[in-house]
Amino acid sequence: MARVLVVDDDDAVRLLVRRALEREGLRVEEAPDAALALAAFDRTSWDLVVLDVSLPDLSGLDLLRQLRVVGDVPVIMLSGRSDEADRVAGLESGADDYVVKPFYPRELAARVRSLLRRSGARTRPSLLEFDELTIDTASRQALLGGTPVELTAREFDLLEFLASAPRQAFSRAQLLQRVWGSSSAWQQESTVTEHVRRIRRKLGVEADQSRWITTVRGFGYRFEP
Amino acid sequence: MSSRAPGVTLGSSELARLDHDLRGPLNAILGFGRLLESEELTPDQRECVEQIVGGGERLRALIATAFGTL
Repeated sequence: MARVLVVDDDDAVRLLVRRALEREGLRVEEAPDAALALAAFDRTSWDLVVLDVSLPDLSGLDLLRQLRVVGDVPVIMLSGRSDEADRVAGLESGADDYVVKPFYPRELAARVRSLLRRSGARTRPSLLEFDELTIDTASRQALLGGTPVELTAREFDLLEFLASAPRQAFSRAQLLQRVWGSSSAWQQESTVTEHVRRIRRKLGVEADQSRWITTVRGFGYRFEP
Repeated sequence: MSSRAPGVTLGSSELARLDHDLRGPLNAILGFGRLLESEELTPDQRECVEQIVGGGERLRALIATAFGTL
């Protein structure tokens, strides 16, 4: 699974980018300033960076130059400035793409995927197959016996997340965090329960709480292949 | 942003700053609105989201007219 680092001091922008990219099956982590972004690079490698031009402790362009010294990770600059001079400065500093706010989440996600394809980043296997159930992560379709199952975006995210780690149990709080990018502190865990109920109904296994998505009593759920 | 008496014209750098500052909240309105549109919603919820996104797009157009950008 490709890993993306989002560097922006605006909480709303980071959340928006996270939501847009996690829907694409990408793993996203956040850094609110340049220092934490550099620390994230010290800790591990990244497949792509979404980087705001204006950061509180260092300009995004200066951070980009530092990243370019150590490697050629693909970088998409985000900016609230649309001047030609700003775009040119961003691209000449080594950015691979330049996106001006306000941006459409799906368009940003498409640009990210395009850059990842060109850079040959690790991508997840596009097909998860379990008997008659097939989950196509590229086209974001679930097929049951070859017939498409009509899932909402979030239902698909949840099914894909669980199926990507068969037999691993996740608590409802973990699922809220990993699939919703949320927390049980401000979103009820019953949200997870309700989505699981809907997925089971759509997979035709509502009465069988051990088929595909198994209930782990007092904890959460795991996927049984 | 500094406060000014009515009728005082903003300089180009102040206009650029205002343009920049308006993009943050506009990005949140349009971005989260678009994300929400792709969720499974009741008809009432969808109507509300369409109003949010429609209002955001009108605001985007107004800002584009005012600043000649976006």
